[in-house]
Amino acid sequence: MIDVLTKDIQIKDSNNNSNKKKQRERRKIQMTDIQTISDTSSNPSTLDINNNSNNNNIDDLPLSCSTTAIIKNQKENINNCSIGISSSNSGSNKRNSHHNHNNNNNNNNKLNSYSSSSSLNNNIKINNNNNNYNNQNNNNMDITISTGNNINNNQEDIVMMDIDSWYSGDPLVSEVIKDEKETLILIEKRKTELLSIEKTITSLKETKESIKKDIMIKKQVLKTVQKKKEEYIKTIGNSYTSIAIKYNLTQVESRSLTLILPEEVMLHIFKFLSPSDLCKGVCGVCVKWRSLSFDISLWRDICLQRRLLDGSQYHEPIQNKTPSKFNIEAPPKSNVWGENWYVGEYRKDSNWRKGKYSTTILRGHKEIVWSLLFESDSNTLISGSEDMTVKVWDCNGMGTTSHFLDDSEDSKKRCSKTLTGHKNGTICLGSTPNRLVSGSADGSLKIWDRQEGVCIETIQTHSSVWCLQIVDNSLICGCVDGTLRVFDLNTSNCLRTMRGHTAPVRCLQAINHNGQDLIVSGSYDKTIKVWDMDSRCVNTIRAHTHKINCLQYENGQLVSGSHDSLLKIWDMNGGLIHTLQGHDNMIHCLQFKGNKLLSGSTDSTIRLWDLKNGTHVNTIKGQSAVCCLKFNDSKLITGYEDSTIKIFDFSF
Amino acid sequence: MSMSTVKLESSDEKIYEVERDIACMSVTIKNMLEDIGDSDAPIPLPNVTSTILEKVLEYCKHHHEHPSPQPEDKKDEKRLDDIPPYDRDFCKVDQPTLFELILAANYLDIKALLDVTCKTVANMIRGKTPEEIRKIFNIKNDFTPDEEEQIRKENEWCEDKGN
Repeated sequence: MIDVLTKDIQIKDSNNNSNKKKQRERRKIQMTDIQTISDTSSNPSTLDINNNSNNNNIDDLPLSCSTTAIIKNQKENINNCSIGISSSNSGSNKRNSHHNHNNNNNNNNKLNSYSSSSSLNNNIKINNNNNNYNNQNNNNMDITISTGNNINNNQEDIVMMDIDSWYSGDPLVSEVIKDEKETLILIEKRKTELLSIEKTITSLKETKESIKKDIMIKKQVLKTVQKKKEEYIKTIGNSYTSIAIKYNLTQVESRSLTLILPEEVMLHIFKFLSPSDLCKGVCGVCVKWRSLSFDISLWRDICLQRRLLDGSQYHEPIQNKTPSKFNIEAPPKSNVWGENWYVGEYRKDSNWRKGKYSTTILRGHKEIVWSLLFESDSNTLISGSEDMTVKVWDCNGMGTTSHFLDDSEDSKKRCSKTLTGHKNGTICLGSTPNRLVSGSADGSLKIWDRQEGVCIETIQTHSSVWCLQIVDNSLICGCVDGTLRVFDLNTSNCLRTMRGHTAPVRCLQAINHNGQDLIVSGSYDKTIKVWDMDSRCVNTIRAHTHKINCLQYENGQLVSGSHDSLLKIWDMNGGLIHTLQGHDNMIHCLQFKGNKLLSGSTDSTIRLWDLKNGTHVNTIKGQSAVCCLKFNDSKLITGYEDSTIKIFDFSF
Repeated sequence: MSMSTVKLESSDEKIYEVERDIACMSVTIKNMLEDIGDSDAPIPLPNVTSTILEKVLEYCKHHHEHPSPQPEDKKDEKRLDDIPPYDRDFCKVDQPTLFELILAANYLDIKALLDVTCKTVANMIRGKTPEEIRKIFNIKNDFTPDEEEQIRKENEWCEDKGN
């Protein structure tokens, strides 16, 4: 900036006296950093310094005058300061003078351009602290830099020179100037800080006042509230006293109001609480509350509300063992939840929904597991596989040892029988108390003695058997040739054949709908057919856009699963109630019971659905493509493409 | 022809004359009236103080005048957030009064009042830990440390997520 400011400067004494006396001292100053080029009309290229040499009293001069004085002083002391300004100045003066005479026009042009830039800084105040050249400290100098207007007016402009500019080249001075500027900046900075702190103080004071005021108000509110509280406490105290008298309680006892409520009222209160409140809160309050919290009627209501019980489950298996409804004696020390059958049901359901289970893997089959039967009473599992065998497994004590058991040795111990004889994969299974029946891709049905584990009868059909069911003494099977056949289990004679499907029959079920015995069958021809006992097809539901793999009927509802990845819920007139979408691949198997519907898919998952509203509840990850599944309240058994069987246990 | 009003006598021998229909919202009173037939004698309610009886009658009167359209088969009666505004305000009383109201509703057999007061108490329990519940109702913890530990273990299964 200094460069620009000083390129074209004429410094004159603003004091008129100096002009009158015409004691003019012209000096041309040329410094390394500062190029001085004249302005003014007559002598554009010279830098005029009007110095009032007679005026010795610097202090008397107007402020702007001091510049001149300083320059004068500087001139007088110049030798002391060892700065070779005089000689160089005179030299440059001559040079510049000559130069300017020749190039007057040129200089004027230059001037204009300088003027424009310097005009931005027409009036600059600089606090000068220059002890070296002047006795006077803190010289304030007005520096006026001439502009184009001055030139046009053809007047001798009064330009105050920044003395710093002159000496900034001096090593001694430049350092001090630098310090000076830095100090100035610091002072300004601190001043700003001070200002801002003062502002903050003011605002804090205001805040303080408002807080004080607020505290006063709050104190008044507090007084009112405390007064109210005292009144209330007095009233309530009276109430307690009257209760104590009324119910013949001590003052302390009367404070425990729940003591005065009859148990049926306590239970009525608990009925408005969720199972989790009962388990987490109520149950842990005291002995009496604990015994009330697992009251049978309470939990039966909860189970009924959640449709955990279907019609067949209204019996209460442990009712006899359970103390009376309002037993307030200390609960048994054993696991009390186990004492209440309904709590157990709720708990299992909760585990199902949250996907909390232990698992056991059974290894033994060598190929795809096609079919499963599970007998809850004896904990017996029967499996049929593509490896042509049927295996019988003992599932007692399963899921208690480890949360995730996958042990070949354990599997070996559990596999009680392996039935061999089929010449191709065993696709489907059926059982009676004494017999096992297996249907195979080799086209045969084999009847096995359960006890001995030997085949006692083989029924040869015309094509692969893909599904079967035993009803009383009849064996119904569905075949790849699209027929359903009914055999007499005792004589092995084919009693009836139902023709109608145009592709393999993959699934079937003998049902009783509204008192009528029927058979429903699902086929690769994408339809579900309903047959009466005279082998007539009474209804055909064009159920899916792809092959049908599985179906089940219960309580008027029919559910089908298909290669199209969808599950569909039907009424028996073929009306679609819900379509359940979620699986990413074909559905192989399904089962539903109560409100719980499970489906297994090639996408390696088992999905749990709410049958009532058709919503997805939970997804359980399987081993690989799920080919078959069976479940009861506490266990889910699944058979996989990778030859494993996995059992999920939810009862803990 | 039955009288349009009946007289009720509180335990502290104050007599209240109320509309028969309002009084009959109490199944107990209704049965008593049927038993005694037409009589001018006040019906004694020895289990209900005048303070509580006044509140009960206030409740009955309001609901008689503002019958709420309650479908009988309302299955979700166990929902806790369905207390109507009047009933909620009505139940904003101190604990002794609330419990006396419950007892009166139970004795007089007024189902709506019993439900709403019990719901209010249930709301006081809801979402609380046993310790907090004990504080609210001033109940002594009479479990042994062993029992407490057992309870904690038993209830682990419902810890993570409330259903």
